[in-house]
Amino acid sequence: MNAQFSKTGLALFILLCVLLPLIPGGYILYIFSLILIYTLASFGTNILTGYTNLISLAGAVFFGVGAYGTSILTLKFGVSLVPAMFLAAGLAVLVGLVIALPVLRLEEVFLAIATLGFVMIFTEIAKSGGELNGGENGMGAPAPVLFGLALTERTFHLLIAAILAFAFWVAKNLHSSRFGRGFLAIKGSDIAARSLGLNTSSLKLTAFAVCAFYCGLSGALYAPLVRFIDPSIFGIMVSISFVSMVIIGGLGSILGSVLGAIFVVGAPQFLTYIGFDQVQRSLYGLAMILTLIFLPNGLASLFSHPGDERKSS
Amino acid sequence: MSILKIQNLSMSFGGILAVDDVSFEVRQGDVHALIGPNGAGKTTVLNCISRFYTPQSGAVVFQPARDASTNLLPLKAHQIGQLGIARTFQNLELFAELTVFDNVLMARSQAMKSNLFETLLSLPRYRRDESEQKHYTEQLLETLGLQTVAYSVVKDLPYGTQKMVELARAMALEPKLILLDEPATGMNAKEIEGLGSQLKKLQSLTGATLLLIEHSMPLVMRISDQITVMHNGRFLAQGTPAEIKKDSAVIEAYLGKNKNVTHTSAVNG
Amino acid sequence: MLQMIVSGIALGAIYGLIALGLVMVYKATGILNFAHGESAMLCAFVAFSLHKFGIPMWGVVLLTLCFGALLGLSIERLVIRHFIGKPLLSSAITTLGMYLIFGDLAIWIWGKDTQELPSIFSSAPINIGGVIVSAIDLGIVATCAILAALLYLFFKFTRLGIAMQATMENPTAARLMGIPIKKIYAMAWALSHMIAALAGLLIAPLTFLHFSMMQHALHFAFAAAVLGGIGSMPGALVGGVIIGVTSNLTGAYVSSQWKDIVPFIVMLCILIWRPHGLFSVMQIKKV
Repeated sequence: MNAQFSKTGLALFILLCVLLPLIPGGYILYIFSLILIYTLASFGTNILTGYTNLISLAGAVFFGVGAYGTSILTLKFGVSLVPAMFLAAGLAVLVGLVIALPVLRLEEVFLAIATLGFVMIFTEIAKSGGELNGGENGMGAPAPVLFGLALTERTFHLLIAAILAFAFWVAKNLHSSRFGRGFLAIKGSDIAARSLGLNTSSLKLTAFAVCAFYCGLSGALYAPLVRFIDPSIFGIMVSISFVSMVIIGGLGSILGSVLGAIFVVGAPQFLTYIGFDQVQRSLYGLAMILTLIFLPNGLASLFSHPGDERKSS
Repeated sequence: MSILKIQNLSMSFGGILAVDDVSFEVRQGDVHALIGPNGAGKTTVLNCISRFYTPQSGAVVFQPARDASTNLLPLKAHQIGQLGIARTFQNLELFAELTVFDNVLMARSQAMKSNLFETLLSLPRYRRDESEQKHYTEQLLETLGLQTVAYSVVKDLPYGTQKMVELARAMALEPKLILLDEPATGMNAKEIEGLGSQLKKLQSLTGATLLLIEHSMPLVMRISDQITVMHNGRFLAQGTPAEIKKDSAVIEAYLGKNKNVTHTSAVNG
Repeated sequence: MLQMIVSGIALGAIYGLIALGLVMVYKATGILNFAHGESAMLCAFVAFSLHKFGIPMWGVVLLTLCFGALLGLSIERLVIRHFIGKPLLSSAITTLGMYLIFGDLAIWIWGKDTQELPSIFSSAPINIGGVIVSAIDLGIVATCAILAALLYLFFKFTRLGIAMQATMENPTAARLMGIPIKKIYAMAWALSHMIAALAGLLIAPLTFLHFSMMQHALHFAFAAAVLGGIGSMPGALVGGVIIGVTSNLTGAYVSSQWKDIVPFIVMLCILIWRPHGLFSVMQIKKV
């Protein structure tokens, strides 16, 4: 991530928000809101996988905990929406720590397998929630409200954008800090990192926790957008789509996160439009493989020029 | 005073005894060389000190001051760096995709006092940490003559410069002890001479003790205050360069092989 | 209860076969193959088509195993070779991508309907000391046992097997000793996929053929691999059996929902207390 990317990313982002009045309501606005929500998840996944290169398929777990947490807190416990969202995101962090603590000190491959396992576990837990969350049938999610006032779809979109902007600012601070640099050090050389006194286990845990918060918050915003959630939110495809965003968009890049989100949300829409919606899964798969082979730094690298790597942090 | 005491260190890898009951001491302020033929167990000793390996028995005592003595073996690798022991690697372990500046700045993480919360919300202590340590890094790079390549990505730099960067990074830790694993690898005679002066300058700048593994005899003889010789995993001899040159056991095991042209040297793993 | 255990062993042995393939390619090439289950699924569907074509069962088995080997070879040659030696993330993403593509490929060729594949063994129940067990389950257990024995002999006594083991333990040393490691990589992938094809053939009569038939099994296979020790092939097989039995017993005596969760809880416990699994030895990484 460097200055050039940040500026372009920011420009794109402001574009998405400023053009808001021009965006037709209903379905199109829904897609735009979904892109912003996925961008938030993409930021989170980037902080974990993009920086440290750790393979985690736990995105769906955090997303689902955020969504279900928000819905249950508001509808069953009467907490108001925005605090519920942040509480749910915090809950996702706790879950993340439970997943990560046992496995982070082990080899990478164990993290991948463990996160896969948790996806299965949470799907089952959600299905057996019974009264609390509607079990297999899912549950309705609350309508968007802020300070007791109901939000229209446009104002909710602005709320999402505002939260995304705040998340972006926080991510930028993280990037230019001993933590962000530490994450990159883990990717570069775990041995060198430790020889410099960096506690790599604690850094990995931090990256995991931040990712959990972002993905959890993303799920928390998703629930009021779609108004109905069910256990499929914990499905492996959600995790895969998060990883796809980061790989296809470009690891470690703000612009990449945005582009990845646009692709992951937009491509299936496009496929449905041209009547090919059955190949959505293989499209993600093919796009990831092709990106890895031909465009290792993702779509974002199409927008950069060589020599942009100046003062990076 | 001894800053580092290796005591009865033994380490084996699945049946092969790489280090066999090795003991020696490193005096504070010395340039101390650890030499021996390939396979003598020198890097293993270094890795035990750095805690990348866990030896089966023995102790490693680090005593940077009269009243501060720590056994390193119960510690984890990252705690070694935190105590003020830095190291460089035989095959360079730089952060290849990062700039020189970021590589060196990485070593300053310890000196930063702000926590995660202060960082995420860009509170004053975090901002102060960042500007202070970036300033420190700039200064250090200037002192070492690396300011011209400060913002170049490390993997694009020539090998000699990369070695300098690794050294700079070790220095940025403000270490009391620096472990160097074959710093002269890949250098020609002239570069090795330059390295010798650099190491001496490094020592005067930081006041650190240097423990280096080296194969280049001219370098070792020129800059070392003390030399420890290992052979087949065991301690063989220790002394000043002059003493080691004359030690018959050393000559037979090590130096002798080099001097005698017709002598075929065994292949050591 | 004995019947539960026997069918648990049978099902678990199949998970173990998939896990064995996973461990084989991980040890040989350092790749985490998320697509392994889908490969087994494709092989099972190929068997289905061959069977529908009228080929007798023994021919179907033979041809499917060959297809499996060919599939493994092609994947290694065309895709995997590019990623050996690179960071785990890139190869893992690639196999994840293949997992997605294979899934849709199966739907495209064979559709979404569930199909049937008859078992190699007769479905008659067998009476052992007063307990009824299905011949299919016994057949599966017997097949896996024979395969395990064959693999043991292969790795211990044949040149290729020994060479493969050497490559798995220490690729650098193997190369220095003149072992053609690129060929070994190809062999590892071919062999592991042949085993996956066998797993597909064995499980298809139990779970019926469906494009999603292996997704569940893959999760269990990963758990089995970790349980046995990610570096141990026999461990993977045993791990699979343990998981199969535990899962069945849980389903019968606790609740059917927990049946699917228990393997993962077991896996997580192993990761916490003995990460190198029941049978592996802790490896010291050389610096």
